Amino acid sequence: MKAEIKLHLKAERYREALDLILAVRPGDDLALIDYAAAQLDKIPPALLAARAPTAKRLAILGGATAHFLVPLIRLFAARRGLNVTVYESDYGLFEQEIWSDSAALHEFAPDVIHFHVTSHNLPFAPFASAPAALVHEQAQRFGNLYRAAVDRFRCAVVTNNFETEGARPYGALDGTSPGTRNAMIRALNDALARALPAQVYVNDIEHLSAVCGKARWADARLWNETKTAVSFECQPFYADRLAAMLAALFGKSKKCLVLDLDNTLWGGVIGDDGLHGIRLGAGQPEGEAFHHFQAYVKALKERGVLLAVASKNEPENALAAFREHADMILKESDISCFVVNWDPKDGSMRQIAKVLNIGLDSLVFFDDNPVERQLVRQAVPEVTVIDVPEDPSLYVQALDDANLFDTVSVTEEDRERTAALQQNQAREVFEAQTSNYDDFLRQLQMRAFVEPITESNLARVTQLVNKTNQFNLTTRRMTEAEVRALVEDGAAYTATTRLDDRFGSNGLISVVMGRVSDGVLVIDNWLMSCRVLKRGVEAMEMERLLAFCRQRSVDRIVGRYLPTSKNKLVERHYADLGFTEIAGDGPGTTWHFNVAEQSLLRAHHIAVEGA
Amino acid sequence: MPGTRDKLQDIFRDLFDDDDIVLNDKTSAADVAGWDSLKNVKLIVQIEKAFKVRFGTGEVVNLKNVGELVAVIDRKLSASAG
Repeated sequence: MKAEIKLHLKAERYREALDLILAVRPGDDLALIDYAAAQLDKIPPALLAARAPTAKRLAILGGATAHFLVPLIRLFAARRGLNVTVYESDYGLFEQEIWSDSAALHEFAPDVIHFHVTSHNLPFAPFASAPAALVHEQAQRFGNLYRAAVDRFRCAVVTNNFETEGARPYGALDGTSPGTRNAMIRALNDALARALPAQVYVNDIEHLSAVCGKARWADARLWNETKTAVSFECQPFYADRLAAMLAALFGKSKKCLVLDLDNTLWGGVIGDDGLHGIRLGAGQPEGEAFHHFQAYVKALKERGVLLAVASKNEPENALAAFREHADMILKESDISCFVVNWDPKDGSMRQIAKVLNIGLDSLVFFDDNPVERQLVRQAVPEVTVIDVPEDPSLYVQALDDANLFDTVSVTEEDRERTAALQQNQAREVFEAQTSNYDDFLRQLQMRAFVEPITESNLARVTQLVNKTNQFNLTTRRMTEAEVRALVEDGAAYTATTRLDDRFGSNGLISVVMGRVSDGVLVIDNWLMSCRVLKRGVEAMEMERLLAFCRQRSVDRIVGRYLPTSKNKLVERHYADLGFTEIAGDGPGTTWHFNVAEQSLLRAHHIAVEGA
Repeated sequence: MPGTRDKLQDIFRDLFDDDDIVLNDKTSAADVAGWDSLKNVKLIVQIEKAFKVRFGTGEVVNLKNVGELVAVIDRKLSASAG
């Protein structure tokens, strides 16, 4: 990525370079973060201003050296739409700057003053016999300082609280005696939080240092050499948390979390596995993971974050989970907007933003499927897309680490936002519209490997035949022996498709089975895994069917749709492929295709390999 | 050790974002734009990572030029090899 940024800059492709720079995250390689942060200055100001439109002035007054943090803060603020100009005081002058009414600081006219203070700035001894007075004294010192900063410089203040230290000269007593240094630090944090002046906000580095690990947080050599209090390793996280607070201060926080359903809120695919087949709730490891994720999401909702659903499903299946599954923590009433259909999700994002009357840039998209994430990233770049890890046990952390929903305070109004919205509008299920979907499919670089059913794919084919409910024209279940019989049947047509794309392999995802008799190919079974819907696989399969027919001098293809409670999705399958409906006997609908007629085939973007 | 200075040169080029940097034994902080005491800290971290060595607190503060830096790295490398 570093090399790519470099190439773009060299060729003066600044827009592309900036896209990559702003894609860098706090968890990335340190060398990449440093590099990206340094390159921000090479981007033409107008271009940067377009991507980070809110220009703000940030004064960092250091109780420790903030030098290395400055570029990181600028980088991670830019990711959040803030273009930050920084004023940096010399190390240790954080109090002088305020009490002396620093002319330079007045001239800078900050929108925010950040006190980069740490427990190095506290004069507490390892132990005090009368700690309360000492704590009170420091609470006065810092409380007065923050108040003066707001009053004199007419700006907001974001300060740190103080981090307890890893070293414990009093050993286990550190946790119980009120006289130890760490006990005084804890008491001071509490005292300051209780009496926080207006316009003063606290960056909780006591929490962050614990999350990072106290042993990683500080680098003693770095402190001794440069008075830098936070290790290089942890600085990106510090910078990002501060950036998140600045974003909250200036109204850049996200307002709505858009969730996928299958394998995001529960394990499995509800349309295939059924209401009681999905994995959710206590008793099974994966079910526990989804339970904890839902609990976290519920907490977000309760503090005022709007929830929406963007899922490819039949609406009644999706709603059944919310209404009937006992282990769902999230209820229908928690969701402000449901968009459940089979259309590309960029359209769903636009629908949700429109219905909730918020900007696309207020949406955060959480979906286990990397292809959906890529589509949304590409088609609606305003939406923030979470890099969802594969393991659902890591979902909470992935969302929490992103620090996207910071608010400077939570009001009753926030807590009741979802209810208020629901009074204003009935939830609906929306039809989305596509935009540049063709381009997206082309860029997916899909490759299909098509081959007949063989001994080696027999097991997977049988599994798919017996598991697939939604994209399944006849829902004809078969034993492995029955499938094997087809392999040896000279009149049978079988085709299996494995689909790969730039994100990896989707595995064997589709099966078509038929049999030729009297010059007619009758399709008995046509099914596909829902994860590759709307990729054009069926159009590609239709081409293969026609090629087979021409080779075998078969004139007609006949297909059948047998409706079930789950396969409404493919009701129009044959119509979409150019078949015409004919009268047939028995239930369902019967469809006919004349091979000799030059009918217009549906285009697709899949390169085909294989037999 | 052969190659130490070349490897160091790559680190310099990367860190100071300048592919034209050419190091010789006499190269000092005055010769490289941006090589100040704070950048020096980052430089040391990069060297530690690339050569898998560790410098003690204050160990590099008094080094005068690249030649001395190379000598210290080589000494550490042969100590850890022995």
